[in-house]
Amino acid sequence: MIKELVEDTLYHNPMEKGRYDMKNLSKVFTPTGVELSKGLSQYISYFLGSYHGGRNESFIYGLVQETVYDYDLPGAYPTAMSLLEYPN
Amino acid sequence: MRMFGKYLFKSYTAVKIEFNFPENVKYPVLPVRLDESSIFYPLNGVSYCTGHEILLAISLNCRIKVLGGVFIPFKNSGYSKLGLIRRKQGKHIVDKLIKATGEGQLKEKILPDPIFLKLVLRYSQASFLKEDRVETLESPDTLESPDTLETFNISNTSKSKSGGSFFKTTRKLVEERLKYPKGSYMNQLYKFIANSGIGQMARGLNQKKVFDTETCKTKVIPPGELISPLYAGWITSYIRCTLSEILNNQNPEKKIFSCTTDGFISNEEGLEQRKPLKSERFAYSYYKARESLTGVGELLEQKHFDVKGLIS
Repeated sequence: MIKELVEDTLYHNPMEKGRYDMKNLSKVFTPTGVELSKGLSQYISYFLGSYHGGRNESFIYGLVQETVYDYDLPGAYPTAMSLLEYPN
Repeated sequence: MRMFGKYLFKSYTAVKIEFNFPENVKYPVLPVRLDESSIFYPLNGVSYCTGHEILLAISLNCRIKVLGGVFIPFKNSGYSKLGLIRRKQGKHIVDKLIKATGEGQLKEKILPDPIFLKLVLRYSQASFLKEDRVETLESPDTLESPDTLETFNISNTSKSKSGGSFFKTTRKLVEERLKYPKGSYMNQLYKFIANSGIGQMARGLNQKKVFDTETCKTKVIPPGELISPLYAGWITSYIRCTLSEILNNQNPEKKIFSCTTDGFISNEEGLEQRKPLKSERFAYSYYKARESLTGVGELLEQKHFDVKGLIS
């Protein structure tokens, strides 16, 4: 199962003319990396910018003295992963 | 962006936008980065966000200016760049170009349309949105999506060749997990495996620093083998949007105290029974996805409740 997951993800990690693929992503963050990766860095900056974690926010501050209920989306991230498809 | 509207759900889209929500929107949905570790959700500002967030913001009557971005559709999304050009510019123009140049080279020749500034690397169906071409979206009608539910149709995900393996692997993990009682070691182990896969897709993306006990210094987390900003961004934004949509559709007379990634605390009872309406597009697609995975449609579960209250 883990092997399948790894293969699924690695399958579509793009490579720019064999120079860089996603696992060498850290090199794109350097000025030289940006220069060398050309097309890759142009679009990757949008994806890096739009990647944020989960939404964590307090809307009401202070002491609440009433019954409160804690709700959860069951299996949130795996459910989202099941909807993934390869990019075209 | 208007042209991509129908395909935004089934695509890897990342955009920079300027936005303005109406003042009656209680829980704005577009993330704005304050510093390295903080994001907040204001009524207006400039945001780097995904296609999901645009769809949700537009449904809340947000006014959006698209300043630039990238659109990469799913393999089975039905999106075809040539089909789009045929519709926009006329079939005869495309046929003439194909005859003259061959389909392979045609992709490079569709540049006169300023939206298609450049094809992205080897993604033949991908498009850049040019930074100096500002596009304004003002209402749900501005996205070309007459049948919005069709956009969110996830029923063929399990059958799709291009995405089926993600579905199959996840379903195996979920099925294995459900064989064991909640809270047991094996149940937690399968939960951990599934969540680790997603964690590895995102590891190293935001250049977070951690303390290394070996050298007693902080260092940047290196990227992992599975790193993919496309997949990681899609998954997290989908969950943010599902949660934000639920928050915005809550009973206005009840309170929501806080939210944390995939859940929230409220004083409303019985939400675990809640079934999403078809008009709640993210919540409904989530409900259907759970149904495909486990055989039981579910949107929310109640983790616990406290009669004494809380400090928020």
